[in-house]
Amino acid sequence: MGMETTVEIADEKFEKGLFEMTFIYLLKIDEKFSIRKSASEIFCINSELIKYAEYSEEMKTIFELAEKTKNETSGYFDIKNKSGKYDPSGLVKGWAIHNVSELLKKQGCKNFLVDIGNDLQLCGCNRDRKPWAVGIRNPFKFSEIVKVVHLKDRGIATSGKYARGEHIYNPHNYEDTLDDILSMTVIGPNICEADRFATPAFAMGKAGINFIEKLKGFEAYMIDKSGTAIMTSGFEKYTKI
Amino acid sequence: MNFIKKHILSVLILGTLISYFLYSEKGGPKIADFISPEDTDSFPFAPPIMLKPESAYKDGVYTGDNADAYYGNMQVSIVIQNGKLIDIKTLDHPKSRITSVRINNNALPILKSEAIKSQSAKISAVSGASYSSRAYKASLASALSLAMN
Repeated sequence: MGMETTVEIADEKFEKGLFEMTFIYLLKIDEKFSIRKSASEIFCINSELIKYAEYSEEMKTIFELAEKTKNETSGYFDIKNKSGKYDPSGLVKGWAIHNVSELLKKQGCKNFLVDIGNDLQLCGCNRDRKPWAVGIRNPFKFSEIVKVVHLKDRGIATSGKYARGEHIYNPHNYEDTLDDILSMTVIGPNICEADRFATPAFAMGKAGINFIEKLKGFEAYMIDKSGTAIMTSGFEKYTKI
Repeated sequence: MNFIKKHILSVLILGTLISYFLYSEKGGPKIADFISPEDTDSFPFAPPIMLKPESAYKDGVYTGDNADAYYGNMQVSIVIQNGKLIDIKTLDHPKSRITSVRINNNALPILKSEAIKSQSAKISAVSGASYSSRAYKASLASALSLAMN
């Protein structure tokens, strides 16, 4: 998917082959889901060369998850982009990180982080035996962080337009410039869950923070264009170690 | 002609009776006639109320006005400690109708806000909107090639 990927394992002992295993898995995911690769399954779907019954199990899982998320967000989540083509990459990223995390756990890993394009799954603790310290990026200044959260067995995803431009849109109003807020960071029980709600919460604008407030088990930190952050009522517990 | 006149009168009387039954209880149509409990879920999500900075609030317990919430009264009591809002209690809220309870479940929460400021702390990773490293590298490569003698 063309994104920086980092895997850090903090366990004292672990198999050396784990990193290779992770990257091979991610390459396979990219082969299947990259909308740019003409041999990918998603490209074939968008070219109408395959019907739903012929989709692979993984593709069906993604489409079902997309439908579920669309219903839970009153349509603010939609894997169809503005041109009517399916682009599940927003969902696939979180889902793939989550799968990598499960693969590592199966191999006996307990303390690790998986980072793809700055969406993260944190398991266990870091080498200092403390929850993983994660910084939230300043949307006005890429090199700065404006908040630190301490996470153990959680996923964190940030949605925003400031880095990649116009890839997020409001399915209820194509003309919506989505300028009100610059970033929406969601913390959830795992990265797949955090990721699937981060994009629609961003597309909802300032109301997105209320949406996450009502969602049990999720917290969020939203930064608007004036540099003001609003957080859900349970967010601050993550700022303390 | 007489037949029609006779029946027009019946229709008028019937119409009046129907209107009377539809709108008779406690005067006037009720909002519940137009909005079913399910509809409250499709209302657009409303923006949050922002708290002022801590210096604006004095410590103490404060009781809000008893406000008319259409289906009954609404009153809250708040506790400010060290300039922060630490507790909100509902002293009274409309309980009499199913519709009004659903609206209360959708009530606006008061969420904390703050001005963002740069932090310097030891961190393991950053969460932020990401950029495509492939595109970044391609752009960097082209810029470098332009810079070449």
